[in-house]
Amino acid sequence: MSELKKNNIHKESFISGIWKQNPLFVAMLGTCPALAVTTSFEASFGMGLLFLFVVTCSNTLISLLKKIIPEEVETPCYIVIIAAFVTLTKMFTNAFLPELYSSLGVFLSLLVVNCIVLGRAQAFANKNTVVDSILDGIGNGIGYTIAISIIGIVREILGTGMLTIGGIFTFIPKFSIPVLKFVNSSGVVVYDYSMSLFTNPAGAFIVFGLIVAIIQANKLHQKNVESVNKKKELALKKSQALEKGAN
Amino acid sequence: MNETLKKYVKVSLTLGLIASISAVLIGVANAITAPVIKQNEVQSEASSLLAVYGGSSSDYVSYDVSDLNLDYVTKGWTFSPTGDYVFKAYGKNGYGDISLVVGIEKDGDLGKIVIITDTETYKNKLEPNYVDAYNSSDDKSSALDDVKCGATYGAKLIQSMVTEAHEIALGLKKTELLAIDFTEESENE
Repeated sequence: MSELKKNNIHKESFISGIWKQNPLFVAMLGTCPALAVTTSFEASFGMGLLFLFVVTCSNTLISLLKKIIPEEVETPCYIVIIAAFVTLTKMFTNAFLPELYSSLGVFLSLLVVNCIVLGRAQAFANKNTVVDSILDGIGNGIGYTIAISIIGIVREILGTGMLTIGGIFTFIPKFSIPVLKFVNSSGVVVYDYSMSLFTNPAGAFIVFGLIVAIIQANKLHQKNVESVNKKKELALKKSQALEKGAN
Repeated sequence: MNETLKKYVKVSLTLGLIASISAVLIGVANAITAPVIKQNEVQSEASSLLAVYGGSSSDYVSYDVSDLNLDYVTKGWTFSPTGDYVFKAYGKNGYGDISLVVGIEKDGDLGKIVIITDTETYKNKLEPNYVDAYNSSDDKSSALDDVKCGATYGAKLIQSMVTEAHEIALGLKKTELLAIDFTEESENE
């Protein structure tokens, strides 16, 4: 295989998970934690990073062991590997980011049965090289992190009126950016346009649905533009051919 | 060795290998993180104790009751010279688990609740609507009973934990030696 072709495969493995095949907004996988933990931007971002770690590590190990794992016990082996990495993630998060661990609750453990992690193992890591599997894991992890962070930002701003940083990642000094709610230095609420609905599960569904609708509408628009351009080109070619014939 | 047996051996060895790799990884991670997690818990407990009692945290006697037959309370403290109590309790339900400390005055009045850990799914409803409402209420018994907060199961769990601590402080729950120990220590101080 030529070097250029190899590079293109690596690039495709990495890029497709971020945008073209985004696990959340395009493939609609992993929606359970995406709806449950996205009440704040920091919790969503934290979940995304932990997901990135789990999917990359499990893809790597599965790709390394793909030749020795018998077909009959593929799924149990993948589950054991994923569960091991989720347990590691839980331990390190509990030790070094206890606020994040507490805010994610049971959804961190539920990464074991996350369909994206198992899906990438079955659909990609067991068929491709280690490098491609790592890139696929990183790409999907980044794609998922971006997707749930977007939901988290929108829900936090609409639901609380503010964007708070430093509440979960305590190594950052805590500060809030007032957007829809402003409280002055003496504690008086100057204005508050926040809607608590968006901190509830119903709000998560609304935000998720709207974002998916915008993405699909954009895709459809691009498709329509492309087909109109093609038709225009065809018409132009036809008219040029007719002109040539007439001459 | 026939083919079927060979296959079984291969499957067993593969599963064994993967389980061993996973066990080694988890073992190493546990060795690194266990002391840090323990230290975090001690720090969190100390700051919660201070938040509940509000006074000097050095004038107390602590009791580890985790071995006794209790549903929620795992540790207790009596403070001198007031004789007030602080209890640490841990509870679990289908939505997650909660660890808290609650203060109870010598005369039996309920004090502040401070949450140490809370992994409940409806935590964002439970803490502001129930725990904060309880802490800011003057009538803590009524606030404890008012579990309609949007996270009823979590609130009921906290209510049960606090009620058990309250019963121990009042000497109503004479489980094993606990009530006797507390009374004796308080009187000595």
